[in-house]
Amino acid sequence: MFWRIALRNLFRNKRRTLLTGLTMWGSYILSSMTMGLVGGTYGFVIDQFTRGSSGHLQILSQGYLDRPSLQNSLPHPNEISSQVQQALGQELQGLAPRLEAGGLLVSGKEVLGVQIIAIDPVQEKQTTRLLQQIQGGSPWNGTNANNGIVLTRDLVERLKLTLGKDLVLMSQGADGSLGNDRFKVIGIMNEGASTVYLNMNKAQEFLSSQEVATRMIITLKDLNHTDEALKKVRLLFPDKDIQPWMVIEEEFYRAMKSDQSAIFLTMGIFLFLAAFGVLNTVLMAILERTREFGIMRVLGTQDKQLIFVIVLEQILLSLTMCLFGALTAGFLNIFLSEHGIPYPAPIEIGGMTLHHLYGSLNWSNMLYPFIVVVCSSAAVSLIPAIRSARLPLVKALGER
Amino acid sequence: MGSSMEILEVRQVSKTYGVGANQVRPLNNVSLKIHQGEFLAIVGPSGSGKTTLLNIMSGLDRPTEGAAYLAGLDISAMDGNTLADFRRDSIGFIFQSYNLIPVLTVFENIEYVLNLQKIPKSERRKRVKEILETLGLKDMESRFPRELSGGQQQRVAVARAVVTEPKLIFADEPTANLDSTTGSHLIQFMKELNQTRGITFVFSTHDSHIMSEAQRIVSIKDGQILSDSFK
Repeated sequence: MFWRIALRNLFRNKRRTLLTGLTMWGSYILSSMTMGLVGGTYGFVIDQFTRGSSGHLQILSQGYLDRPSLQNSLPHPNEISSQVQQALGQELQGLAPRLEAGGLLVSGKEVLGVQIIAIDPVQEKQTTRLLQQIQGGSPWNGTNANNGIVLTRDLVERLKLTLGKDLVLMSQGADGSLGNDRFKVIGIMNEGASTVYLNMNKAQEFLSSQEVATRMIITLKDLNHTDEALKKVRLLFPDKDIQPWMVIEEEFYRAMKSDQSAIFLTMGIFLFLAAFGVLNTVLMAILERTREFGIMRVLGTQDKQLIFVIVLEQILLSLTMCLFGALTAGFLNIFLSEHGIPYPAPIEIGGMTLHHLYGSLNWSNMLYPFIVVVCSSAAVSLIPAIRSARLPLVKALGER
Repeated sequence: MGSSMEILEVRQVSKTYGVGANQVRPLNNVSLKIHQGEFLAIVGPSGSGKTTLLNIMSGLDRPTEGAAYLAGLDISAMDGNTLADFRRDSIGFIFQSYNLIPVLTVFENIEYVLNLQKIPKSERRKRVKEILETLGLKDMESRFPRELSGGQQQRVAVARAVVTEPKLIFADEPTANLDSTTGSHLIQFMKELNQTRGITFVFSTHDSHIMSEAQRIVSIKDGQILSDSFK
């Protein structure tokens, strides 16, 4: 009987119910699309960023992140590579070793401290987009294979170098010996500062670090599988330090999180305002029926039963409107995840250039707005419902 | 008097509203005993305190001083939910403005209290059908209150009050919104229920017809009982 009363009450003032329902419908769509756009755009940025250089996971020696050193490197990277391939199977996009050290770059009278990063061009190409950021594409081909060096644009400008120029790189090898060699500038890296890139084979020889790597970069086909892959790789190498991109690129991760929090806060304010709109119409609908609720109580309806009827009315309405909202928002989220909304001008976030604002469709951006809209509708009707149940009967009966 | 068993008693009941200079006292030290099976009318001019007395006797309001006992239980001391259960099981109400639930049909309005009493569906249907038949409302069971005349709505209200077979029915100006013919039919029906089922009726009224049918008339003025006469 209470269900019948609640349902029929919704049809008593159709215009008001429609207005309240549309507010709920709009709130659902707004929240779902905001979450979709935030998730889609940030997902895109994070994916681009991690595939750019850091990968989704990294294998390091214990303590390497705190004390990076050639002495604290990973032996036999090829063996690590084949074990990871076996463990991750189809989830794996690519895996590449890197060797890192500090060094001095000498060009004419100029001497600059630099970070040396050695990469295996073939494996790196399968794993990240690092090579694509080098002006002129993959440079370690043919005769350049060994003594070619890639510099960041920052270094090229500071040292006033051009492609084809020679320079000297000095560093200390893993065995403590000091090495120096002459290199030819074969590429310019568009991102980063004070970093030089060498071919892995040459670097291992130059740094007296044969058959070792300081990092293994792992990229997955789907960024969202990072946590599961992390568990698998950690199980595989309990003696090594396996870290996800969130730890490796902590600053970037924090920036993304705080940006997302700001957007969700704005969304929360929107929802709060929408809840006020709902409260307004709910209050009207409940207060004008004070006498009717009084009669129900006179007949023996208990306080909790009356509160149930009033709240149920709003829950039924919000559930219905959320279902319609889910259909609409689902369609819009799919559309935006495929086509996106073009920006009037490209936007730079975390070193990435965005041309479109992309949406996304997943359980969280369909379910959370559902919970928020239904719960807030129930919550706003709870206050006048309790008031109706607590109002002295004589006063309730006296209201028209 | 139908029976000597006491069903209701108010003892030195007073009711005060407001504070200080705005204080009003619609009921002042009233005591009254009502017995099972009585057909009693509380009469008096507007503002005399008869509705306040009816509200206190039926547990809709609480006295500022004194106590009200229904079937031996102090209803002025009961908490809200216990009182709601008590009203549901023992008391029927009829109001001047019918007070049907607008979103329920005639059948459902009558069934509502039985539903609150958790009576099985088949039993509920049987009892509602019976009372609809008795009150000549059978053809209207699917109609909503807005589709009924005032007299028809009041008959539904009577049916709703009677269907739970309460010991006591309170009726506040039940005929005030009805024409005299409809009013007298309704009074006759209530009189019949009083005589056949022994239901106690307590009216608050101005209606001379009810007064003429009442076995006992309690006259009230300025919050105090002026006279209490049995026929």
